[in-house]
Amino acid sequence: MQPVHHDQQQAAEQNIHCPECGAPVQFRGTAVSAVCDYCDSTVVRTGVDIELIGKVSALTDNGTPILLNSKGKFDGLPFVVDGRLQVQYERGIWNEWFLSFADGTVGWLADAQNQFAIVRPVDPNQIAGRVPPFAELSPGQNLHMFGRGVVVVDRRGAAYKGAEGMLPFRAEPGMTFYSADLRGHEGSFVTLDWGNDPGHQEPIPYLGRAVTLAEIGLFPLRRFEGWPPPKPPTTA
Amino acid sequence: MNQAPQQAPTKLFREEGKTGAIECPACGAPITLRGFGGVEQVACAYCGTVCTPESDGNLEILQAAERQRQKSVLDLHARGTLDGHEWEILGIVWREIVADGVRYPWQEFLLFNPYQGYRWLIYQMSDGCWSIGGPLLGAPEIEQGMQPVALWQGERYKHFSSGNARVTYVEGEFPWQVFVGDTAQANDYVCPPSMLSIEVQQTDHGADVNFTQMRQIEPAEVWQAFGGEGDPPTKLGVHPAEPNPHKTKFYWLAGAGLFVAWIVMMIVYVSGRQDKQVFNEVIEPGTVLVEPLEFGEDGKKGTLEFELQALGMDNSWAYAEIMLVDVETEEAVGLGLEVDAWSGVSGGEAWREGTNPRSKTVGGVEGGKYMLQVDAKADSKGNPADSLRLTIKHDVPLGRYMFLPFLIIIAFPLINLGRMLAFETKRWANSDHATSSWE
Repeated sequence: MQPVHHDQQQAAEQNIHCPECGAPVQFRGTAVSAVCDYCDSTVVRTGVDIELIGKVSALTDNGTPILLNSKGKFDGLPFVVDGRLQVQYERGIWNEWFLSFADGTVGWLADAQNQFAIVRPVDPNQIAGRVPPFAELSPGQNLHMFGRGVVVVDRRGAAYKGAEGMLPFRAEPGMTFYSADLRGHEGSFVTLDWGNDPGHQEPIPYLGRAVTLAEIGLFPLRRFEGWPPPKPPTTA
Repeated sequence: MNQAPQQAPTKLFREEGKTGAIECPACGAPITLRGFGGVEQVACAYCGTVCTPESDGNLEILQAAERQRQKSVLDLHARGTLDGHEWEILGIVWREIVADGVRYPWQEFLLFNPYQGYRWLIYQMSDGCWSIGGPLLGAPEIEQGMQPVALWQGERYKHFSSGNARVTYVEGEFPWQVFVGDTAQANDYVCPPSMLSIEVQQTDHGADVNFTQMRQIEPAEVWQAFGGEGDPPTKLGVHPAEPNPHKTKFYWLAGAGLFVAWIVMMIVYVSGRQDKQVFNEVIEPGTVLVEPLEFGEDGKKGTLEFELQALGMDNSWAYAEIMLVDVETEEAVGLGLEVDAWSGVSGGEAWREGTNPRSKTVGGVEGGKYMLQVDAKADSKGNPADSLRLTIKHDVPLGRYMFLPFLIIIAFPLINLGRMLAFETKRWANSDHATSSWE
């Protein structure tokens, strides 16, 4: 309960309330947009201004076992699931969970078809000028970055479908998010993020690896009819 | 702005994910939905119509069909525990590759656990082999060549086969779209006990690349897990990723151990022989020598080596008829020794042939007192022998005792090597690299 109380305090300190229903809205760190826990309104914070986008989130139950506010550990570093962006493209619905790590850094947990990967942002200078334009990437293509061979496994322009919790950017209907996923010859996972514009030359790189839910000790998880309820991880 | 919230926060998806039951919009047959929200399509088991679940809970027809239901080796929605997790068969796909006019059909069972994701259980209908696999957590590096190699986590997976895999039958739920007639280029690589499959499928929105890691699973293990009826279909062939049962170092290690033991025993045996000269005399050809001879211990059997050497002989032969008669029992040991020597010049080259000296070893001769009788003869042609020297040694090492064990020692590893190679031939017989890819 303690962290929640702390967050509410922070929100109260920052004096951010939902313009729709007046409930306190959590904004932490670099969060730019948040969906109100109480009325589902999307609220965007730009500097000191608060903008109400409205009830635009149309999250779909895509069967993911991950829940907002779940906690886990990645390479020994605890994190909390602070938000979710849900997008839709030709191959189906995809969740990108926004993670806040205990050391103040952020990351993303990609969640599609029950396959998971955690990636964290890396310095874009590391790949500057070495990545083909978005339009020239195709699955199966071999590239070299971060000192390793990687293979393009997916390239997508995915449409905003819904969100919950906090996100580090403005998210609303009509937006398309352009990105590519690459898998390394040794098991690493790379996401290149072009944001809302596939035309520019400087995607933001994210580097990490595929994970299993058991390995990151994510809890709580959703319950599913006919399956034993998930147990909390045995080690703290 | 400052009004208090009117209700508790919305907690999305905190309620249990529910399974569903609905009717097929085409044939009205019951369809159970057990894949929760992740399901992209469901194919009616009875008529094959493929639908997609709508957000309002109804099914929208993607592809109508009127096929007959076919019985797969395992049933849809059967549950079983494999690799420490419980799985439910969520969907079934039959696929086949046609190579040289021969169909190679198989059945794929999509296994689902909401917390573990998806796996594939694959039943090869042509030979009864089973595989279990899941998504590869990375991408292998491909080394092109006569036989391409996929490198993954330090292991070399050799290319096994490539072909166009076509979907022939679909039933149940899937988190992606799969229709009868869908074709993917499937490339299999093996590194027993593991194998990789790289599938490339061209779709409306570009190529889809899937990396799968698989391993062999015994039919009995599948049957035990999913409770198939009776016995599993007999496994006839060698699974591409089946570990070679003859790939054991045991025979080589055992052979090496026995070899050392053999060397040691040989040294002991040879050094334990007296190898003692008991007779050495020169005999005139044409004479008969009769002389008493004593060797060894009374009643103890040993070996005798006779060596005959003709002195000053060329282009001639000599012969000695040797007889040993036991003084007490009058039992006799007889043998003949012939020596010859030939030489000349033909085509400008000098040559030399023949055997001189010649020796013969006789075993099992009891020690004791004997009468030795030697009848020496020499041919008068050519350059006959001046004299013949006969040497007799007692208790010499026997070569045939020494080398027979070596043949037996080497035979077992060699037989195993043959069996190992035969197994590899069988494994690769179904590949694109038949008989060429022994390890």
